[in-house]
Amino acid sequence: MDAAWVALGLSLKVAGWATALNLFLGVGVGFFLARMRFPGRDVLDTLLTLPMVMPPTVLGYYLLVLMGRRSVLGEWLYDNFGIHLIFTWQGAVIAATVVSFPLVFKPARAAFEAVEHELEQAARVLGVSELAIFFRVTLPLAWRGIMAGLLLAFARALGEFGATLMVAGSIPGKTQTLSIAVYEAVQAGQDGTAHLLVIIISIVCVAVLLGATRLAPGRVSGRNR
Amino acid sequence: MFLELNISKTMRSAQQKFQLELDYASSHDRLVVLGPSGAGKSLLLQMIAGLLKPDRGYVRLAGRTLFDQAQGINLTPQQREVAFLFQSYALFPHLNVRQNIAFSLKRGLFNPSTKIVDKRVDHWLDNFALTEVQFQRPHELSGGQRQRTALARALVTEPRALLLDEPFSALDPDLRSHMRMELRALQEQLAVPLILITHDVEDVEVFAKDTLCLRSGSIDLQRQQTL
Repeated sequence: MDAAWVALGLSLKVAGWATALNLFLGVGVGFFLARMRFPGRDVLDTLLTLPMVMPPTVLGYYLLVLMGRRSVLGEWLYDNFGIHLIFTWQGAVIAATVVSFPLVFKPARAAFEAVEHELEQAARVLGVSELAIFFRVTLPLAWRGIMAGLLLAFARALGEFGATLMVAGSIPGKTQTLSIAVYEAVQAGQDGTAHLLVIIISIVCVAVLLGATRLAPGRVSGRNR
Repeated sequence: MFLELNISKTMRSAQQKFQLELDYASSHDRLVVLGPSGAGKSLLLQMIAGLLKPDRGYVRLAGRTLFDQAQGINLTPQQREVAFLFQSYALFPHLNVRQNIAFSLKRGLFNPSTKIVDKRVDHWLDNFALTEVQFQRPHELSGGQRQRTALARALVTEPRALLLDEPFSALDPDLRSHMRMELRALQEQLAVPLILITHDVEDVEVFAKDTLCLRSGSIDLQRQQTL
């Protein structure tokens, strides 16, 4: 049964990294889309939402083409840094990040748009710098919406299957995440292992969803006296 | 001269176009801008505070040029050192009263702590009878307390001028006349120049040394207190 815990550990590691990357990418892009006005903003938003609706295998295929050793990016990464992402856990992180990215930037954008403009203006007149306004006013007020998105993204990354399998494969102990291990166990007729894996992943998912519901923006912050 | 203005601003939306044209000077330290909603009063106040950029012209306040298109001067709101009291007060909902008042005193990327120690904050809490509610959040306050918190937050910066956007409109009538008197006494005590915009003529009676009446983006009438 050790393999199950190894797979869980790997899943948590991949989902954790993907969520950490999305914290910066999703919050950055969400803020950018909420505040900047430029032609093509809606088109960009739509393009960035695509990973949510595209079949994960299609996404995985795109990533393979983009990062494979024969691609421009893949070649450059390998020649300059000796990095290659295909069939590595880092590749799985990239796949999970791309797939869960819309779940972070969408709510982040909505949360930033919901912050009253007047509060930022008040801070401006009070002499506080623009960077400080972001960290002292905008981000704290948008934080709950962003956190809810991050938790959902974490859960989505944890359950990632299609794109990960395409990009990272299923190497036990190396790139075989929990959701892939379930598939392999069922294929191999190891029902006991499959049961255990399914129960583990169900418990983790329920816990994450409960957390996300508690943080959902609908529940007004700071009112519980 | 306390305030010198020569500004022009055109605002466009899909269906509407609004034009503000003002050429005005006042030498008194209490100016009331009166006009119906849609007259451009708020735009004027925002342009003085630096929250909105005029298309052309200049804005000079208390001997400083805040904006001059010809000279390429446009100070940021941070550099203008004025205080702005918003109609809705714009208190920070995630900070308590004490933190709200201390907001401008704390530099850097973090907010003041909930129990920040600062004599200036204590002074204003005491002055405005807010000491008892200092650890409460804005949504737990009464209307009058909210306004006093916003005023304390603005005055603690020792501004060169105080800009007020319909300061009494959110208060019920009894409290309104009380807060008017309180603010007027405070203004005289601190000798801080004040520009107040309103659609209520009673504000004119209590505050105005100079009155500027706006209608659809231009000057309708101006009246000066005889010296």
